Amino acid sequence: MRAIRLILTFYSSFALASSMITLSCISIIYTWGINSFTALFWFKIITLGLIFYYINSSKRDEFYYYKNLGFTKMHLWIPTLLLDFILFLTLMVLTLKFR
Amino acid sequence: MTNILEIDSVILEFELKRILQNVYLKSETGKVTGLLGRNGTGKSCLMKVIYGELIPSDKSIRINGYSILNGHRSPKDLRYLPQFRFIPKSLTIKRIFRDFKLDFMDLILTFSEFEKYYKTKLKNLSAGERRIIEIYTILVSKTKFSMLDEPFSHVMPMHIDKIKKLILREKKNKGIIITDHLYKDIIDICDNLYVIKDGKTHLTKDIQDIGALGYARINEKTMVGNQVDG
Repeated sequence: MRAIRLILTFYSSFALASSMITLSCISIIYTWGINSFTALFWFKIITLGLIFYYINSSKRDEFYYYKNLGFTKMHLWIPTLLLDFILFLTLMVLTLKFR
Repeated sequence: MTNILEIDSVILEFELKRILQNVYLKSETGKVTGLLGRNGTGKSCLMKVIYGELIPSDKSIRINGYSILNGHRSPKDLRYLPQFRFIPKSLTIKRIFRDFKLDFMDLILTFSEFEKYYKTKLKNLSAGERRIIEIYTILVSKTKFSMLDEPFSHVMPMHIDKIKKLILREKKNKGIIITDHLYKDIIDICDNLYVIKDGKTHLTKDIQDIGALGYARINEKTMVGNQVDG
């Protein structure tokens, strides 16, 4: 339970930016269809890379909070990036299905 | 049970500048180990090496004789208070105490003025109040060793006295390593005192050693008021 709480707290530090990017991708795929999927897929990957770099730099002091509770950077990044990307893929597929 | 943390053989270099060499430091349950040194001598670097945040060319870190080889540190073994703010400011005190499994009432017994802050976010506290919460979480939560890097910065004198009492209470359960430039307060509470000079740790035998190692001017008044136990 504490693990989920900590991971969600960490995710909240970039969830808004990431959600905005996902929503933009959804609106584009809704307009342009399956042909835009490959470009949007790589766009999402690149923006997640930028977020990763930005958070590692801007929140670098806060990683000590998580480490003092037994959570390394890997423990935080792997589940949050997976969660975010699965959410992105799911919403993209659903958008294509109900378009 | 008495736990022992030992560090030696540390060689830390930044480009061509050697920061640490010939380091030996020991901390054990029931004792406060003080670490003094001029600015830039590597006190914080040594703590970061111990905590696995800085990777030196060579090191040997042992807890109860077992070497710690990777960068991972279990909070059951060691917690670290860095000299900067490290708790996300969006968290409430309630949430922080839940994460660290701490009793808020115990905090109130020492710092009664925090009673009204239970559901307050850290960003709404002053720098000193925020520092007290940070010190308390690292010092009081369950672990074998606590390392405190400049805990007294931003803290008013009255609260420094309370923190010193808290350190003396907590040393019964853990080993504590502490560094701060308020060296008289450090001398007051420490059982062993090391001074870092030229990348090397020197275990002081008496307060005059601090002056001899060039860290501070020690006069008779200081000597009367303070005595290193080591």
